[in-house]
Amino acid sequence: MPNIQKCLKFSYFLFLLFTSASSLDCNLLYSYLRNVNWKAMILLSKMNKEFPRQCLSIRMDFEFSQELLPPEQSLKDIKIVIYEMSQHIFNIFSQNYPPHTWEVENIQKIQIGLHQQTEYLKKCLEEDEKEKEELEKEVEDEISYSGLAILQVNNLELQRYFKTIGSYLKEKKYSHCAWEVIRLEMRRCFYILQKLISQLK
Amino acid sequence: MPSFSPAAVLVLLVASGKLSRFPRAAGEKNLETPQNVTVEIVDHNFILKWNWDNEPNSNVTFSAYYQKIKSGKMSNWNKLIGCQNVTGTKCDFTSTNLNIFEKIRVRIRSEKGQETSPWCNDVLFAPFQVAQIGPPEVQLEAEDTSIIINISPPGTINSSMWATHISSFTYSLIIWKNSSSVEGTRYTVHSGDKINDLSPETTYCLKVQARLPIQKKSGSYSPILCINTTAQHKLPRPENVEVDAVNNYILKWDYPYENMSFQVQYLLGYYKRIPSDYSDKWKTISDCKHIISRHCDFSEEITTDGIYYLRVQASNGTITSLWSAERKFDTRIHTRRGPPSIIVKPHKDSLSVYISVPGESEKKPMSQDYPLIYEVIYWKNASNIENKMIVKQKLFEVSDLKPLTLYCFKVRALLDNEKSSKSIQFSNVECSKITPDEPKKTWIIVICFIFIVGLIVIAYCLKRLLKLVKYVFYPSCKPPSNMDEWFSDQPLKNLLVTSEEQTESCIIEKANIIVLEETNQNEKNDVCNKQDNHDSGNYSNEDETSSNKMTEEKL
Repeated sequence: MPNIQKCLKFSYFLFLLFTSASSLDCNLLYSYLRNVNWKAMILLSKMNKEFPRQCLSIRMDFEFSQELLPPEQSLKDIKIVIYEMSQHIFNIFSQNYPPHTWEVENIQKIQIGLHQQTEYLKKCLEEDEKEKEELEKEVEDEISYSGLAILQVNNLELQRYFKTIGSYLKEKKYSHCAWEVIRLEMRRCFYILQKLISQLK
Repeated sequence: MPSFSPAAVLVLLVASGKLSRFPRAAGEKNLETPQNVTVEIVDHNFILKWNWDNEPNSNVTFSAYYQKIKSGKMSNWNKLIGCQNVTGTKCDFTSTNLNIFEKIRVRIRSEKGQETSPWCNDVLFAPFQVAQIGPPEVQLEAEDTSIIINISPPGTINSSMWATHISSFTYSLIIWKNSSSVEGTRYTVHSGDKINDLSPETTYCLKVQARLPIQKKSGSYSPILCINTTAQHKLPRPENVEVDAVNNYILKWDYPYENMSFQVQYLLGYYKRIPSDYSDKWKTISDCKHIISRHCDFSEEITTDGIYYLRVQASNGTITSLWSAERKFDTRIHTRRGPPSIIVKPHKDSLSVYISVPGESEKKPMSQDYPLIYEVIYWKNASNIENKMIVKQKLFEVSDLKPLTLYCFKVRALLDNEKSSKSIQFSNVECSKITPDEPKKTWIIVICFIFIVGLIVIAYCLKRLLKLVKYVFYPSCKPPSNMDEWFSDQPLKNLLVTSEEQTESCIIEKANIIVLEETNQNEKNDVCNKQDNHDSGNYSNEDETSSNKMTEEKL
């Protein structure tokens, strides 16, 4: 048996010599994003098991409606929404340091994931854009233009939502309770992201 | 609801300019409506502009109003602060507290005393959508043959336009030698990045532009800045910093001199996205501190998949070099996926295949993030027909194979939705054949048979031995009665055949017999008959007894 293992190891190294570095494949985004978000959701839940009672009084409805995410969107639009949301969540966690009671490491892990996720999405969206530009050389662009306009309306709503969150934190002076409220809200965001990601499959 | 992308707004504006000439209510005869009303928003400066061809300085003022539109509902018209009774052809309405993500409708008219012009056609926009990115603020720092670029995002700290997008900015930079007429080189940079490999003591000029690629916004360029690179440092910086991430993460670099010690630092990539100074966020890798080798394993430090930056510094004890160029390292992209390996084991009616994925036992569990599926190809050894199957487990059985035929297997790991998979390598080829159960059964039967036969033989031998022992130690002298009957008719000579001894003793007996013939013939026969049947070893003994008998009889 040890001989077989040695042999396997050797052949494995031989094979590795000839393998090339795998590059980012935009077709693989789905499974990658799903895992990153899932991990982030778990990390966020881990930080504090229960919502502190003393913070109930400052809870706020940030009015996240399903209107922000209309049902009929192209894959590209969904990717844009995922990108925007990830970017906003990243922004919220990075601009103002969360409370000390939360484990810095967990926040860092979430940030690392979100950062990588947005980088990938950006790259893939830019690739899509190139393809689209090539297509548009052949097809009249009016139809796609109107589609873009609708999307921008939706993105505005999304941005308004995140802006409200940012203002709320600022208004509450980044207090522990305010962060707890935001943590709940971010969990909801990750949940929505997860739903969006499942549409990419 | 009309769509309103920036271009659409422009179209609307052109239309409004033309249309506004026609409708004119009574009592608004003499005043013209402002033409070509446009909104210009750069960062957080909101400007409304219009054309006014008629006589200037004629006490004509302009006033603008806005209406919020939220989910189709329109609010009342409000004064646009900063755009009331304006004498020029533009006004700054930054101070109007607008939600930048909310659509508003703006209209303007000219006023002269009590007289007012008709409203221009409404301009519909959401501030964020029409907002343009202003020039970023750039600071340069020369370091050896590099220039460090420090960029402050566009807008002021208090401007809320880009607050939600502050970490989405991408900066494009164009740099050129001041003396040359060659078009500059373009780089995409983060704040704090270095432009490396420039000529020493040379003047370089550059300009920077901020972009929001997904929003399709490209900002205006910063003013051109120039800087002289400095003289080269005494110790060069390490070059060709590369990451080798096959099994572990290993950083490699080149250095021209011997007897140097090196140290490696890493930075969590996301700090580059946050618009604050991250120079204190670099962490020294404990395993890569004061090392002499030109490579270092930093797997211990990198526990979360993500994007990192690495840099190396050389030192000869007294002088320390500058940091090397930063090497971006993405654990997912740079980690190589080697082909799996397989082991095939035969079973009674199937072959079981075990796939092992390289690197999985290592720090980087590939399949955790990417669900791997396995494409298994197998074929009969001599044939060219390949069978393909896709499995998700790493251990599985292949049945429906012909027994005693050599089958060969190879496998490769694919990602769940990987379609263009030509470049992905197959594992080693493993061959095996099914050794069916039948031969085994016959062997068992044969073994059982041999065992049983052996038992019988042993039993038989034992029986014989027992018999022998019985004869040696417990001889029976009396023959069965029927034997007596049989031998009575036989002539005596026939009994005396086996050996000389026998003959001799028999001769002696004969003599006795002759003597005793008359007395008891039957008894004599008896003795010789019995002796004939047995070994010579018993003979003398029996002879004695018989002779004893005879003497007794004689007596």
